[in-house]
Amino acid sequence: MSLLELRVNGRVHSIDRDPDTPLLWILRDQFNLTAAKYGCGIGECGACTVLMDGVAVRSCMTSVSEAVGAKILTLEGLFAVEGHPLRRAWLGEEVSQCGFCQPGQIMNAAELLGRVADPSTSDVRAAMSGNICRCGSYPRIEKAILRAAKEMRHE
Amino acid sequence: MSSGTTLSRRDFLKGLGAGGAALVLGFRMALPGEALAEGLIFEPNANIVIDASGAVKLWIPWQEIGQGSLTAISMLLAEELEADWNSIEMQMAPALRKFGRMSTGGSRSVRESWEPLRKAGAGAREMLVAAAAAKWNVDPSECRARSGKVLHKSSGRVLGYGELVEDASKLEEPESPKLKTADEFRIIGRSIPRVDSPDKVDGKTIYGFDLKHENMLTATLLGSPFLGGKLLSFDDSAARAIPGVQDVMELEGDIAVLADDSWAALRGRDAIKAEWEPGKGSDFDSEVFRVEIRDLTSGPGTEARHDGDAPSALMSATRTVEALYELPFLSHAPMETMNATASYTEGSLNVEVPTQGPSWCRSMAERAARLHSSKIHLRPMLAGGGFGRRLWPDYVDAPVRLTRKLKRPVKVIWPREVDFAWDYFRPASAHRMRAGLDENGKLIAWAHTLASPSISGMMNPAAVANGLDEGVLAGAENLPYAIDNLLVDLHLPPCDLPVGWLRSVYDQNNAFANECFMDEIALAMKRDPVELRLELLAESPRLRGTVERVAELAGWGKESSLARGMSCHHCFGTSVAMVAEVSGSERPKVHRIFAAVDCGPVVHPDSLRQQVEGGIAYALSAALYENAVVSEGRVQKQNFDDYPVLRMDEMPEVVVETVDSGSEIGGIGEPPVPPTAAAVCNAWFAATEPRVRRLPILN
Repeated sequence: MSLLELRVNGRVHSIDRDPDTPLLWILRDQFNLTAAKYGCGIGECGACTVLMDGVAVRSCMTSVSEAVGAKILTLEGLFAVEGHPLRRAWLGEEVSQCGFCQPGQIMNAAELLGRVADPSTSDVRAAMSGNICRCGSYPRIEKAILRAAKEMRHE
Repeated sequence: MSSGTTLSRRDFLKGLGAGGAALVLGFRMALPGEALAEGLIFEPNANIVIDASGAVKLWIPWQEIGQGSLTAISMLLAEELEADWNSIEMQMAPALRKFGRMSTGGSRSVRESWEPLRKAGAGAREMLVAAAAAKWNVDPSECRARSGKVLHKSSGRVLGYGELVEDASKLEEPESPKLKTADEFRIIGRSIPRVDSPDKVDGKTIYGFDLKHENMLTATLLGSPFLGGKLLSFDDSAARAIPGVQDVMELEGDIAVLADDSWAALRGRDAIKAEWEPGKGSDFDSEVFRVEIRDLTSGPGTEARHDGDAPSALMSATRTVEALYELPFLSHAPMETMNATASYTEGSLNVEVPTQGPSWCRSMAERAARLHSSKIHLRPMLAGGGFGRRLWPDYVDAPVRLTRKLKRPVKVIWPREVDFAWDYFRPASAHRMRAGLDENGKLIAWAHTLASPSISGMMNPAAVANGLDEGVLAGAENLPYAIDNLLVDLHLPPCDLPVGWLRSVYDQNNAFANECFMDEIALAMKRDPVELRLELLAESPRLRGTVERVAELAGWGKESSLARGMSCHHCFGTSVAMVAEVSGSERPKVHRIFAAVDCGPVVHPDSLRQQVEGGIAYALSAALYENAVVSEGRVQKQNFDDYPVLRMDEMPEVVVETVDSGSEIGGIGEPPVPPTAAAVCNAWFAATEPRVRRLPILN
């Protein structure tokens, strides 16, 4: 166990935990930020995706010690500001079915739009293919990202 | 969505003494025979309450597993009740005996709600109108209901439903209320925003996996690494040394690790050294099983359907076509792994569980807790996918036993590896198909010998003692094509691997065999596959209509740079025809799939599209990649690294159109699944031979 400071959604948390603990479980079990989901535990499905200094990471494979010093953003933080274009797009395209993978999808999309203002369909597909959806919401995720990108460019 | 208690009508009326007036109504689902025998059908299901504020509370005995049914079902009530859509507070009903057998499968939620909920809404509307008319001393025919209010046309007087519920509740429920005609619908047929979407998009939805209670322990389980293993001994010293691990114990032949949080439980599980003794099924091998069932189809099975004389027709045929199709076991792999949470409140057991089978879960909880069902409050949670896996209740046993032992709330979570290993797999199957053509090239005979383990038989061998199982035969026995000599026979091999229902069940297997074979026959006859189907579907006008529509939609017969393949299938009350557009030589690239769907009335057009897109994605994933391999009794693929599934880069464009033949309402969750693989394989054959007869394509 060791005392760690984590900066999550603009707030600093101190926790006493094994530094090898995956960030996912700290977010979910210690900070009650349950938007990030457990899907596979091996970084294959993307349900646990959060941003660290703007970069999408699989929080199930990221130890808290790696997260120390970084600005961690979860879906709760991303949508804390009202009217995020991704939120509007996700609702507008009615993306969710079971919804379980969507927080990870949205965080991955947020990273993409942070890097590429005007992504092509193939940019979207390449960037999003690390995130599994078993309900088959893929066509809508694609549309939602292109829609949000367009909106953000015109803001 | 909030939790709630469903009151019986009697209880509710008693409660009214406290002040609030309300109109309490029930609707009855079609209950299975056993519910009738128990007398349950005579107890009114008070699951609709309109209170004095005008709020409409609806408890829905179907579970939301992502298919959008909470929204669509509520729309049925709102339409006929003439409710203000925003006044409806819907939630999933807890598992209570009076609802009969609660389970969500068979694409039944919306279609089985279609009539009872509309009738309940219409009945309530008539009562509210009658109450207003009486108040105004006018004839009810002069009044009409709109958006939660009753209006008197000539005088312009208006009363809200909340103001009328007290009087309305004293009236008799009309026996046969007048339902709207389709042209009068104002809500049904509109793509109203899904009620579950905002919380899901915000990450605020609490799934079972997210539950937290005061003083709760999180537990996970370690079981035998091979089927049928028996626990001999285990060493938990390393597990107990992990900070946060509270306890380790043997539980019904498995090992439970209880901890303060999820990570400690998962690490504790990994740290246990256990020895297991092989038992029944410990040598199971899916490849051996594949060969076994393939060989079985060389001999005749139990006849399920025999029209004319298929063996003679095949003997006398000028030309025969033969093919063997094989499908593997499949894992369900919903995104949310199995989990359930159990706790006690004043001697009553609470079980919170993402499930498709609340009644079975409640029965399992009764046994595990040794409590009467009246002491069990089982609350279905929104589920992170189901696909049939969550019809089984097996994930409920451990949390109930653990909370009983420890007297603390316990959440049991399954790591992905356990979720794969303890699945009830989609049955593998083998299909030997034979067709005969006469000297004029006419299709005169069709024989389908099918071998697949029975899900019903696994639960109750007596149910299939005659060698037949309607479930396994679904889509095979009821072949829609008009062929004079038709034989379908069946082998039901015993199988040590647990099998279960997966989205569209055996229809997926049988449609693959039927529809690939139909293309092989068309090729032998030198006929166009669409034209041949249209001819043979003369007696199946609904399915024929979808074939016609999809051919038109896809521009079948016109020049295209992509290869095309078609298929069609009718199941769960709905006809679907598809055309897939494919290219590629090493592996198929599926560019686009057109689907024409006839499911009768469409309640929520966008949900329908979601189900078609999702059904195609799920089926294409299986067709391309999925194969649950078991060797030496061990489920070999236990995570997404070695059990690949469809990802966005391979998702085709999906074009959906509905066909309105005026048929009664059908399901939509499952029907888009069965035709997909055959459409893709038929298209790929057109693009590049040879033909795929064994799934997955990328074996």
